[in-house]
Amino acid sequence: MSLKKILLPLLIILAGCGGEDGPRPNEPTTVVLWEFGGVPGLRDWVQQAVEEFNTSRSDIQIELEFRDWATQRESLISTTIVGDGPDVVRVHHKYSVEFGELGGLYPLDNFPDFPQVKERVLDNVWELVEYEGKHYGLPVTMLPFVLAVNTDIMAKKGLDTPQTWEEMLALGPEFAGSGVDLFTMPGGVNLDTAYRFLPLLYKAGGRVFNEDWTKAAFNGPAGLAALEFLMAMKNQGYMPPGSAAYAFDENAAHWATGRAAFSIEGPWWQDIVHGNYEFDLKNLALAQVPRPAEHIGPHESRTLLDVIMVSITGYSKVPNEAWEVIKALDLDHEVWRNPNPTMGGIPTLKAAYAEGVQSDYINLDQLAEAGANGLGWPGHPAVTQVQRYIADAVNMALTGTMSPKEALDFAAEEVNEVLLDY
Amino acid sequence: MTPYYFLLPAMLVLAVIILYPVVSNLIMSVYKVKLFRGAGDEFIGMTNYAKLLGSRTFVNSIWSSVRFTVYSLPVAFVLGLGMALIFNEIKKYRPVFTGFLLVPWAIAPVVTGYMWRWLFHDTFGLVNYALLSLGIIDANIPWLAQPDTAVGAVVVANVWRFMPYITIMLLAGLQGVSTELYEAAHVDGANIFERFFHVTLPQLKHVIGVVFLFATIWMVNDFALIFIMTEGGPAKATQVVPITVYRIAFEHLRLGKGAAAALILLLFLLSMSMLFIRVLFREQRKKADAS
Repeated sequence: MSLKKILLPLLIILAGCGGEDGPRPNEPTTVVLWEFGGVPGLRDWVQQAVEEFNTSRSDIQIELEFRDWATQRESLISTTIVGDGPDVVRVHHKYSVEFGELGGLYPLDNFPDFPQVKERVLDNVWELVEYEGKHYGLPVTMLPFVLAVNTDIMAKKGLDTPQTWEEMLALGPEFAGSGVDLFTMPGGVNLDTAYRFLPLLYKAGGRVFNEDWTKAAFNGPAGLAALEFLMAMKNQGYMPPGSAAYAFDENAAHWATGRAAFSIEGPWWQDIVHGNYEFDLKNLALAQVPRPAEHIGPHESRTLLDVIMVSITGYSKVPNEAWEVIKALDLDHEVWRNPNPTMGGIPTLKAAYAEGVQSDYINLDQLAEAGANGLGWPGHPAVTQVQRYIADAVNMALTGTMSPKEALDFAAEEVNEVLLDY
Repeated sequence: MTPYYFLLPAMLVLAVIILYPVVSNLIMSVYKVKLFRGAGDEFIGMTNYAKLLGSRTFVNSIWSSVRFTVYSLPVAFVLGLGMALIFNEIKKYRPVFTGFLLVPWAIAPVVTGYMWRWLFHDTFGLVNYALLSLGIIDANIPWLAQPDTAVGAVVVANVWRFMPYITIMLLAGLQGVSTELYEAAHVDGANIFERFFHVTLPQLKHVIGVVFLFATIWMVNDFALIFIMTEGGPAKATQVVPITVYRIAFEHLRLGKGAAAALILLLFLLSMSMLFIRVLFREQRKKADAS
């Protein structure tokens, strides 16, 4: 067989492989959606909404893929490097900065109708998806951090929900030796740990960085007081001894099985504890995260707020169609006009807070109050790394390996080194 | 030269799948790598290595890896050898027992990690439940929340996983030991212990060497089991080198520094492997030299 006879079919095949990815005439454009949903209710809704969309549209078809919440960053990194992957992703807002800077996400400001869309969403959440004047995602749900209270435990002991750290510590003796912990948190070396420390830091008036983001500030007086507060609860036996190894699920299991009265959580808690652990929701109440009786500062007291956004990837070949999908699913769909506990967070649409709107959320007023006072993690490209160092510091202190000051200072040194690169 | 031509395809495959990644890694380790938008990488020489060797976290992680291996390997070996000796005596249904024995080795490390994580859970774990029920402890122990007990817990899980591999390897070795040697030792009046130390162990020497070599490489490289069980905590007590490499390269996106850390690990394993191989084949070399 001659070389030509072998090479010719190969070349034909290769030529066929090299064609454009775009749709042929009269064929619908495919928009690939990676759903990092997180909670079961959201997954069910997305599945149904995509089916409805695909049935109603002949020009665009959505290809839906569910992904694990914990794999967002790895997925974004790998797809951004190779420049291929989904067109639309539902992810945490902190990636707007990290991947916006790196070109992994598409600025929504490029769409002519973006100002009208922006107008329909609460003003305070836009800053969380903004980097250098561009917006890299549509904020869809808010997740303000609040105190989850087991009212059954509190009622049996005849206790009120504490407003301050001092009041909370004063409740401790009521729990000692009862087999029920006052407070539980994920304290392992995972990012959830940083997410339980930061609400306390913000409440005390501390911040992650200094004013110009050139140095860590979480090791200041407010951070130290926050960690010492956690240590006081740990050392006096008001927290489960195993909490220094807990991740989110273990903490949820501990609280939802009636083994602890309080945990710092958010709007997802209602659905998680009921759906995964059959917790009786009449025993759940939400309250504001306690603050120190005397404000520490130097900043005002705020509440930690996370936002889930829907973004278009920077390499998408069909950004206009992706924008159509986002508007249909995450802006115009009626589900976002009624705060729904199965969706994992409270909506960011202004219409969801209009008079007469009904909601199954427990203590929506508390969530709304926390959301209105919300402050996100700083929009810094290295924020995940910073969260890791903070989590390590909290874990070091909780295990007694370092004092709170040593642990925070050590983490601050590492963060300062990271900040030098930016 | 002809025999070398026959080796060429294999050498080419090795060059592509081993040499190329190692060389790429080596090059990457002397750069500050910028991943996106075609940003040029910055040559920084040995800075990544200097930073790593001056980092308390990295040096601690080397010790964590050594500790994890040194604690796990002897225990897994003694138990594996014991099991192999027992299995060697079983004549009936040996394949069935061997199949069951292989289950821990066959389970994915991630699954093993989750299983042991929940077994050692302070409140819901079976370990505390069993110990409490037997009256051995009077309160739950937070196994994975204390540095010392967490190291113990990951070692137990690792021994459970590795023992079947060691058993199978040693069992294969035992079946190759000539029965005539045992008969001769018996005739000479050797008791069971003498037969074990003077016949069995010397005959298994090479298999034991290979087992130690492979098990050491696998244990030092282990990531999934420890990461799932403890994520490297508490207080970095179980943060072995592969977890540190993962953190540096994929969490902090410092690929150059991560590559340098991975190369240090590779060099450590290579030097240890060479040492093992030298010891293993010393006798054979001596014999060859003598003849």
